Amino acid sequence: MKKSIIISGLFIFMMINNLLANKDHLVHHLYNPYLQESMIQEELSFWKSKMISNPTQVYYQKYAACLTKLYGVNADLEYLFEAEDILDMALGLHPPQSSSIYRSMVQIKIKQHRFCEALEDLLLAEKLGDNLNLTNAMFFDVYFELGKDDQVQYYLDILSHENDFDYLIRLARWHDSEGRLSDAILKLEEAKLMISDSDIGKMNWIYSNLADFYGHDGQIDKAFEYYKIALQMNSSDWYSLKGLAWVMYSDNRDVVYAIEILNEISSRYFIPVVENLRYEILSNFGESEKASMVKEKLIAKLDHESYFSSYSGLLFDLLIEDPSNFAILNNILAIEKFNRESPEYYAKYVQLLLISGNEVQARHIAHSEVLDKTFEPDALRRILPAMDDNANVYNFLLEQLKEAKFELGPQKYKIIYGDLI
Amino acid sequence: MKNIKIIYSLCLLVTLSLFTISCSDDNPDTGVELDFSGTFAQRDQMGRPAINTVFVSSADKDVFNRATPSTMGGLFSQKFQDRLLALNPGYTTNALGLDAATFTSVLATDILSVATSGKTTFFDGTNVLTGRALDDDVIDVELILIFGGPDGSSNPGLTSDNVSANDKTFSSSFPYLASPW
Repeated sequence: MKKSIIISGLFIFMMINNLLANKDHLVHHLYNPYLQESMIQEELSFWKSKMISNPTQVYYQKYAACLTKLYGVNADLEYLFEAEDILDMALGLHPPQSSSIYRSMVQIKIKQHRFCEALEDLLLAEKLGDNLNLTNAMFFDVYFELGKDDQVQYYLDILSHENDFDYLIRLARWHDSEGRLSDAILKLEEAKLMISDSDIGKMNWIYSNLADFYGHDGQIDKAFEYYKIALQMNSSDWYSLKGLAWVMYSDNRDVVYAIEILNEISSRYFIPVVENLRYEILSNFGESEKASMVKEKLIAKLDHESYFSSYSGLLFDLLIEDPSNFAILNNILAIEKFNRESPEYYAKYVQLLLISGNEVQARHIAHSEVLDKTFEPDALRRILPAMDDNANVYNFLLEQLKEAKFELGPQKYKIIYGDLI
Repeated sequence: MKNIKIIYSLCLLVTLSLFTISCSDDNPDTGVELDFSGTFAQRDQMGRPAINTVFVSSADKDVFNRATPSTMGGLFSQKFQDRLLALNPGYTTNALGLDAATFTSVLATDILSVATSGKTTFFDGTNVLTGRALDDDVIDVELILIFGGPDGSSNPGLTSDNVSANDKTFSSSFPYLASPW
């Protein structure tokens, strides 16, 4: 069994190499998630049997880690819910001696954007005191998402003493949020050099993230190349596949190929952000009937409170197209406020105030909570309509957003600039 | 910067060097070239099994894991002694004849010593810490030394983990370990 998996893994790797070397568009030969998923399932069964026969904290943790890995492969939130239940059970056995169990919990909550709850677990990890550098790195991650700049800089300073991979990738993130994308790329490239060639998982991660940055920087060919390298490391990496599709769509290169890639991912998994991209592409190219079907399916899947925290931005954008959804939009934002009261949250709130006709308050909040607090194009585009009373600010935002053309994509760009393009 | 590599454990150091072996056409006789370039940082360490786990508090873990062995005795002997006497308030000496202070000063320097000649064993009744063989019952030995008193017979319920062998047969060839599953 194992031997056949290894052989087929090698075969897929060689095949992808050939395909990429030829720049062939045969995407369905490129995407093979079966290998990775079956290996995780095998590991999961192993730890599950250990956990059942000998219910100790460490086996619960191992089992939960496998569930979290499966979520990474197929984005099925049910795996994260189960992993959290398992860790809760493990914590119920006895107080832990190692902080790793709290960090595992933090990972699960971060993936669901439950940042305030994640913070509570981090405080428990910090109290135990072991592996403090890993805990501090996660403090950075959570405070970053919460938009707490003072704390972010405090933890960045602590992490800088190590000057290691974990520090550099976070420094890159921080530079990106400051609008210093070139510096962010430099730091990620530096971090890349620290990875051992044998650490395929980390290599895959960094190429994929660098591809995002290069795309945002307008270096589309480089982005394309890096996504492909990431896929050579992990052919079942749907995130990089989606990245490739985005390049094809956003840079208006080959939309048919973009859809082909999305079809390939969807033939295996229902991944909301992938379906959302399909919806956007179809809408943008006038395929309104098909787009509506995708949208309905997406909303039906995500319109449950347990999914709101993970997909608040995506659901918000889908539902705000129909003002009659005001009540549910309010509910989604209330959950986001609880999890992450950040400039990005306030940008959505501004949008909601605008559609409910409360322009004065919308303008006030855009000024006090969003402007100068984030450079994220996604937040700036939301508050843009509230700024139409101030030509200076409005034009400044327009200029900012123009630079983010690739990141925004054709549809949002068209909405912002309308007749101006 | 290019070659900075972080070493998470001494074991990983060995693993990493194995991965960075590269064939060298210039050295056909030796065949391989080890790449130890770069700046290394110690993030973890383990000498004797379970000692770090049992005797080092969570709050001290990072300091202990990054300490060089020559400083461990000074930093941790007293803490180890406090922990030993908390675990076994009736401790006097153990089967090696070591009192609490002497025993914990030995333990606090968490290294695995190896004799370059003679039998390799953690403890076989005669030889003490001349190394560690895969089938040595190290946890039982440690439990006996912590709880067993001067002749190893005290606290009989605490002197064995009741696991007398690995769950799979060890291999007779390198790397000698059994596969994990």
